[in-house]
Amino acid sequence: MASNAAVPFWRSAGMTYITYSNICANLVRNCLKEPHKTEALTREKVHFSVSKWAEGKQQKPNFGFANPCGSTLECLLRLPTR
Amino acid sequence: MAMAALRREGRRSLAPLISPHPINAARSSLVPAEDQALYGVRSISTQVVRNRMKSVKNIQKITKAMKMVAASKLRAIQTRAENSRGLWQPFTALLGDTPSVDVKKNVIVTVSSDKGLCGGINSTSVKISRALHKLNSGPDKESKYVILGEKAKAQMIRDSKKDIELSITELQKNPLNYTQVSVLADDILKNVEFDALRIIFNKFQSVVSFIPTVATVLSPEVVERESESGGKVGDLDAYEIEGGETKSEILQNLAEYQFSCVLFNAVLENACSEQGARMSAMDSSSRNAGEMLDRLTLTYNRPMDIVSPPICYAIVQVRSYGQLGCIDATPGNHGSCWTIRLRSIKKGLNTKMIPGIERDTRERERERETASGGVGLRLLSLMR
Repeated sequence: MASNAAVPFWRSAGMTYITYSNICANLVRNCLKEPHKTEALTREKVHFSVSKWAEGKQQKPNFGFANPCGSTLECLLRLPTR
Repeated sequence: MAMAALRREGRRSLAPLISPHPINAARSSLVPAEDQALYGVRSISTQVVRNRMKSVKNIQKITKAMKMVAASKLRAIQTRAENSRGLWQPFTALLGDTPSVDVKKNVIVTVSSDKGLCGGINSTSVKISRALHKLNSGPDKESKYVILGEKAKAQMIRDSKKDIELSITELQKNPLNYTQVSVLADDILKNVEFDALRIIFNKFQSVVSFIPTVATVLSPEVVERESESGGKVGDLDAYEIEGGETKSEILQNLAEYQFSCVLFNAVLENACSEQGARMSAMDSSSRNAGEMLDRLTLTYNRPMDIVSPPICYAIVQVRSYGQLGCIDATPGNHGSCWTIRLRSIKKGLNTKMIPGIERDTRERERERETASGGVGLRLLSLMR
């Protein structure tokens, strides 16, 4: 358990419920047997480009975001930069 | 306007007729091209028309292919969009959907497409977003945009780039899936402060109708406040909370999960609407190309049957009636006279010869009057 007992451990690690549930979903998908496993894992490909705006100008894409792209689990396990 | 153009054209082509040279001589000498083009003018444009026909045909092929592609993509995505509606419905039952909630920090999530050629769906969502922005701005309130898709971004940059907080593109490189959208929702949650998120998308109704829709996701604090004051949120206290978690924790988890689910549905619905709109847009543009092709084919074929003899149109004035009539003038042998068929003057003047068109103007005038049986046809202008 995390330091603050009132907060779930994953939230005190800086995750949101979405991240937490995605990791859980990934674990479940990995438990599948082979033909289904690859198929299920293709459904969690993450790719998009996100950029912040400051004073009416677009910043560099994907700058300071936890998940540039690539495999989901890696993205999700990388802790938020905030 | 067309009449004015005709008249202008006519004045120009009258010039070689008045000149004392015979027409054949005028053609061989160094007169401007537009004067030379008096004979058989219609045949010179066939090359241009043919090229244009070719390009229209190609465009039609492309739009037809795009329509096919959109139709097959639509089929694939439609079932998924319809199934994803089951994701947000429980949340609406539990927390309600409150577009009218009045909070300080509004974030407007505009969902649009990356690619164009899909009718007006992107402008619709931009318009609704702007309206919501206006509705939710006040002295102590602020609203920001989070923009999904290239097209809404391009429109928003024009007038509200100061209010853009985040923009997301390239969402549809891979087929849309929940994991992707939820990671995106996570990014939005972490980088934007909000009291209420308002997601704007085009809800897919049928291939031809898309309803601009606003889905509202409240932050946990606002949900708690609203439910305590007995406001617009559904009756949360009727539910029992399991485990050792407090209500605010549950609400935070719920709000986060609700946002990812609503956003997933919104993105799917919008993608579905995009394909539907593209399908109908491409359908109508290939139909338009077909019509254009028909018209061009007509213009292309017409010069074939009138290559000889070339016909000129002229506007004549019938002196005794003072009215304008339209005639077809055909040059007779050796260009010495014109056979004129009257088109719109009744009075039994069907075919008249007007000789000596290349002679002196005054003489010609007199001869023409005689030739037209005293009615007095005065040639005002002669044109192609």
